[in-house]
Amino acid sequence: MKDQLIIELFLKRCEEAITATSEKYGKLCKSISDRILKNNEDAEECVSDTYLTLWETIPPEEPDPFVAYICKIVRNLSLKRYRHNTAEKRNSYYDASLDEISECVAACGEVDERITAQELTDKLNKFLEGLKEVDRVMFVKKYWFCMEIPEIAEEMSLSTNYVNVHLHRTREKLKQYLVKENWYEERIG
Amino acid sequence: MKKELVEGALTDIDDRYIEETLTYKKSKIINFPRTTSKLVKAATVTLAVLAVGSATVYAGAEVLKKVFYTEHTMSTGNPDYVRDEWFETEIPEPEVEQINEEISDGTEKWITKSTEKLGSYTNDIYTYSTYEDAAADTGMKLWFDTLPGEVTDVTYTYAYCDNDYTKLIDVVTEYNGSEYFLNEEIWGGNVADDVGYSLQFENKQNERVYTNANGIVFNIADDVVQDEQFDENGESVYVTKVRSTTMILDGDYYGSMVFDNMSEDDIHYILDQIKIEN
Repeated sequence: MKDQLIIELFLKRCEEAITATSEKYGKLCKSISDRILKNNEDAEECVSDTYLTLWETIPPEEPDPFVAYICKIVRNLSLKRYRHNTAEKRNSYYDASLDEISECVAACGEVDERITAQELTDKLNKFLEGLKEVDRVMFVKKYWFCMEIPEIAEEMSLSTNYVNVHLHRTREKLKQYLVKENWYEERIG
Repeated sequence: MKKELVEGALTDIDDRYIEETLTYKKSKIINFPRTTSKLVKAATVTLAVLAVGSATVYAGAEVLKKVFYTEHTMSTGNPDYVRDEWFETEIPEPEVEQINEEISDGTEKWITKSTEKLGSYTNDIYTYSTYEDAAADTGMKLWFDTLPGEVTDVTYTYAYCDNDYTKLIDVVTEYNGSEYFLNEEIWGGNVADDVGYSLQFENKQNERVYTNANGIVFNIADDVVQDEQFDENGESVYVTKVRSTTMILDGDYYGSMVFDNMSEDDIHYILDQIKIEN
């Protein structure tokens, strides 16, 4: 079923919307949640909560693209669960990936407390726009979808070595980009 | 830096990048750099048949640094050792045994390191972010202060067997919508005084000479080749390319540059950046 039709079902408050979403995107949602939580039961609950959130937010929302909207919801719910589950001890692939990007940002110097995530998002969007498609996709797979290197390599028909090298280069570019943009000083000044 | 801030920022990246990632077709990656593995074979198989720009090393009895042509080669060294028919002989692919692969912990200049066995040779292969990093880390000469364009792959290989070794750097760079390849190498151990070096061509034509801005003379020749690429369905297709090749001679160092479908002006501009202390 096309996304637009699914959204129309949501707008009409028709419960078939959930079934159609589950059939089309259930597997994707589960894989996103699985990668973060590494726990089948928790991941299934997050996917169910995702459908509930869709039901509660459409309408008034009419998301386009629908798939990105779903992915963001399941990712946010999974992260929330992840934080709850690992409140005392965080040591996972997800945190290691997050650390890699945090280091890129920290390389610019001390970051003012007033900086908002939205401002950083704007910079990331601009940075991603300037990347080659293959590098951008690799970056999003690793740092947004939390995919592991061998999985990225397999999906993109590349060697793990190639993926490692290119992700390393992209992180270096991100550091240079943020330093060049001088973004936090602009915000403070 | 608060991780929560970064997490929040990442979470809200533009929808189109998420959608793009989900719909990305792997067949779009059609030009995976091919130089490294083939050039590694050059270091380990005496007469490997390789694409233009690849090298063959052999021994003789007279030192010559003049570049000369045969039907299928651009060569230097003792001409008695150049045999065009060698390049028409299919050499079987040697078996490669992967030993290990590791990623730098950030304290090294290299990014990844792997070791493989290839016949009697062992190859230690390192990848770097830049040509400058590779040259600095390995003590090899730096022929360019800055390579024009965007460097996409840098590999350093140390291939050794008993007392013989080859050190080589391969770089792939994109410039003005085309690609060019730099190969720089030096050999040690039981290397003859009149060691030779040949670049192979399938259909050599348009031999010419260019003197760069630093007064270095380059012999350039074109080759018309059928380059294997992959269409949207992942099917193999062959595309005709003009591949311009030049040899670089710098004391004990040998090298080559290959320019894929590149204009003469762009080739000259890139060659102008080379600095060699002759």
